[in-house]
Amino acid sequence: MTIMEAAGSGAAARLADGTSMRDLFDLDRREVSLRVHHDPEIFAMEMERIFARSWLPVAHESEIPNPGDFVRRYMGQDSCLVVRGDDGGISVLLNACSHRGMSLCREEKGRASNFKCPYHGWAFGKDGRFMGAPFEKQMYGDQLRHDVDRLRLVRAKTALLGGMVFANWDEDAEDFETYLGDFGWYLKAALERTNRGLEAVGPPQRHIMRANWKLLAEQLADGYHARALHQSAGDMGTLGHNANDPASWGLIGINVSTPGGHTLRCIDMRVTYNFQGMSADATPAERLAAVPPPGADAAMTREFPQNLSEDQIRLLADTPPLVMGLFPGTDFFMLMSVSGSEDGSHGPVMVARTWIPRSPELFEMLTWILVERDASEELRERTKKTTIRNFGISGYIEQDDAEAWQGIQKVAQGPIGRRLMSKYQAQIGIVKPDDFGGGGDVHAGFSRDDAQWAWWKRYAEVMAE
Amino acid sequence: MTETFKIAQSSVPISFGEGRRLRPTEGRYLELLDFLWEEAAVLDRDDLLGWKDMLDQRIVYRMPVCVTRKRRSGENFETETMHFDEDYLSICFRIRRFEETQAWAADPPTRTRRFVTGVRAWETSDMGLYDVTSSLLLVRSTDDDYRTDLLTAERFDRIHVADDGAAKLVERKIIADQTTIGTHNLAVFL
Repeated sequence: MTIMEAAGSGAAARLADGTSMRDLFDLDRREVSLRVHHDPEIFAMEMERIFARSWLPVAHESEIPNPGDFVRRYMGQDSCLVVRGDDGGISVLLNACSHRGMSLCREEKGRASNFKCPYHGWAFGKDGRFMGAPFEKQMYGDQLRHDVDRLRLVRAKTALLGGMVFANWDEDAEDFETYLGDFGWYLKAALERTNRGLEAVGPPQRHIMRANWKLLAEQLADGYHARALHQSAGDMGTLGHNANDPASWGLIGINVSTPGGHTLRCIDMRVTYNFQGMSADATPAERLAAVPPPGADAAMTREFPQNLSEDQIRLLADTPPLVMGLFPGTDFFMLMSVSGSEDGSHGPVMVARTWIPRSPELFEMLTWILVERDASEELRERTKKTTIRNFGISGYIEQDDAEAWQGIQKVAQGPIGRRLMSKYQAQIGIVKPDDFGGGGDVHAGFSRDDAQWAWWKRYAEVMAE
Repeated sequence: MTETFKIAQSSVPISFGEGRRLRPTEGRYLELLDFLWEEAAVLDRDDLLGWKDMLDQRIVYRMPVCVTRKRRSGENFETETMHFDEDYLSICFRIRRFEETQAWAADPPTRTRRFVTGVRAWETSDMGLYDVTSSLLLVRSTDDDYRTDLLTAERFDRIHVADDGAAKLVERKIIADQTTIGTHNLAVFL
């Protein structure tokens, strides 16, 4: 069976040269061949097996506040419309007329009472229902009226997390809560901590990256690269205040992974941050009020008990999640106290990102900047500026990461290079502190390869079964 | 004919190009043109400290995210979110990082060539302060890759010329022509 035949089915797949997907992994040694970042057959299979069937982020609901507001985005390579309906609900619709497949919407953002196809004029409602066609009686008689359900726009199922709209084309895929699994607890602590929640500052930045999408996705649980790759951040005083102390590079903390391939990294605030002047008996709530988490202020921390459990509050105070990755295509960064200006000021970073694969060696990044709705003007500006200066297209920390992704992609271009195996031998195993309230596979201590390998195991499972 | 542009969240008056338009034969126009050419040459030879000297310490340097809208949507192409959102001290931070640290993205330096054309200038109500717009074509190449990235943009500048003729950039808004920026980072100044 060829890759293309197997792509949509559950059958084991072989590449055209006879290699099976399984051959590209060494599950015992924890290694994966660089070929996965280069091969066009593998890419095509990913589009079917992963991007056509996964929960992917498409918009922040604050981008479409009023009925009729919409943005046009991508899920994998399929264009979709994210539309606010009259009832306040959100529809995610394939941007394709059901008649002859014409691209329906020609703007990235707008407001519409309905969507009318430029080709023959078929019209669809905000929820994708088929409304009518020009000269309907003369052209079709009653035909279309008997077919209204089949003619509706293809619709993805949707869910919300921290205001991010997630969508999945596969009606039979697991529901969103099941997809999140143990991860939901951590994400809600980070993103749904206040009463009014988060909003996006505006539309996301969009730019290209000359690398395979997986090089970003699998890097999210990598803490080890901080000292070498982000050396300049160390030299600038943002990270690594004590060059030989792993904690100052964010390397001591808690990595968490799940069988679903989600990964996150928490740093241990008790080791990394100097709570000067605070009593050792200070409660988590007191510590959070004194040193609020990224993007929040002291007043907001008083809302936390209304939205979070005691364990979640303790998570934010002791071991907050910094870098959270959802398989296959989402991340959230919540960093505190990052610099970016010679005035010595520090600010929070709050970012959500997704990546749109375009080819094995090209993807597009979308970067949203998030702020608390109730943030003061000063906090909002500081969050925006710090985030943009550190991450996103002009972000100076992110510039270094792109060098790694693009540098590996160059190696994968050659037949010898792509026989190299990417290695994940550094394992700490399950190390879960007694008082740790979170679930999933918990790896506390020095940040090793455990969570990254969990990402690859999930990828192997989806691609090689 | 005057043209009015809206500068998002600008600290200076929101109108642009409302004053008298300078003729290309005027000395002052030629001085502003030369300033932009000098700036392009300074940046192309990676003289970031030299570029810093061309900036007014009040500088606001922004590049709004833009999205494709219908002609008659009644709303702007540009939005409130930014690709660049800089002031003097944040620019200094970036320059110090390039100059003094191991910034992998810029070492070896990316090679750029800036083509500045279509320069038009207007007086403003402030003596010595000019609204200047220009078209920028930036061609970027890295390492031994034969492929180049092209970035085109319109820049909306406020440039101050002192009595002694010394010019400084006070404000810049960069509107790129792409809504999806076709390069992997903005580790270069536009």
